[in-house]
Amino acid sequence: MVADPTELLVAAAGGDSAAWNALVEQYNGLLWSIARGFRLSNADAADAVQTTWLRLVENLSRIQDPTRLAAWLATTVRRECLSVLRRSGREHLMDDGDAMDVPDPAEPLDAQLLVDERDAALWRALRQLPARCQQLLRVLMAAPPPSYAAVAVALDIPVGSIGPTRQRCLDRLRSGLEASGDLLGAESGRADGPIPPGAPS
Amino acid sequence: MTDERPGGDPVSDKPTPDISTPDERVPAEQSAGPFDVADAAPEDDALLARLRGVSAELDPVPELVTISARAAFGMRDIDAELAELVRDSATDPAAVAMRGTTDEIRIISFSTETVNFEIQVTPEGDQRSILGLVTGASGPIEVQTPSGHRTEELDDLGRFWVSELEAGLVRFKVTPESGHPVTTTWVSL
Repeated sequence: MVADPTELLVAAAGGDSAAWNALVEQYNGLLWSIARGFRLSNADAADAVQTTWLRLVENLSRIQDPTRLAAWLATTVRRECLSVLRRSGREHLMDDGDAMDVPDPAEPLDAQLLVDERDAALWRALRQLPARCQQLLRVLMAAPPPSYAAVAVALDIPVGSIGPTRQRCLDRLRSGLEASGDLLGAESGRADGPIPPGAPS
Repeated sequence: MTDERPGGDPVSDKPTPDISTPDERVPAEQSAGPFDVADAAPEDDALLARLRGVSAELDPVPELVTISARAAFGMRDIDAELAELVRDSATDPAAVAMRGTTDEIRIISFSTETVNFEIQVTPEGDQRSILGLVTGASGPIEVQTPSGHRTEELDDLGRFWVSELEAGLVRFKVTPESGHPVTTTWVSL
């Protein structure tokens, strides 16, 4: 059961550290996924996420409308990520919608670690997607799953574009898996198994 | 208050949504659940769920990141006035365009209505040395990091020096003549 972020924020502003920890529990995964979506290294991503939480602490007592907390956090970490990229002269990386021809400092996320070969194939296919697709899917993968409002501000895209883009990126992911000969959940009985013939794409 | 750059944010084209005042540009969080668009295909949800599982295995939030996030609460300084970042040569687009290497001196300014901080940072590998100038306050200046702090004295001209500071997040705190403490916003050096 997820506690109401508004109540948590008010409690944290009043000095309740348990409420603060609950906020961390709820949103840290989202912040991490956003930073990783910007292809920051472990150290840079950690820096951006920590800075975001410190910024929230700075602003705790001034908050009057906490209903947009996730969006505020998402925007703040996005800005910290862009700041990291700018400081290191890498800001152009996210300008390119399709190329992934530069080394990703977030590697190695070693697919070899995965016992399940289908999962490894899935991850390899993901890494072949355009940067924008990877970024969107990485944020959508956050646990717990973020609201579309938070995703929209995190990636600076309209809320209405998320659904269609998500579908297009997942379709490309399936195509990539098929092209590489990797079967998607080829084992029978998997709920997320292969797409049946004639299924809408 | 959340926008550190009153003259226009060089980092993002969009202002941070201000959670202290009503703002219609960003919709309120949905309470209906994570996926507030109902037309997603079931197989898409299933595939995303699988990706989430793989991601949790390959790229989980590091424990240290969670510990730091929790510890941030302990850095709250409820009595201090916040000095906002007004300039940072490392993220100023014009300065960045002129920059040949990343190893040059970085200049950062913070201010409130009455107190100004000018911080000149010189990188030395993983360490930083700082020459600072504070106007509007005198006495000691506290150099705080998430893991500790040290205290330096402002000289007669408001200058202070810090050497061998580990690269990372830092903020500065002074107490002006008025007696009301002022702390800068956090900055990553």
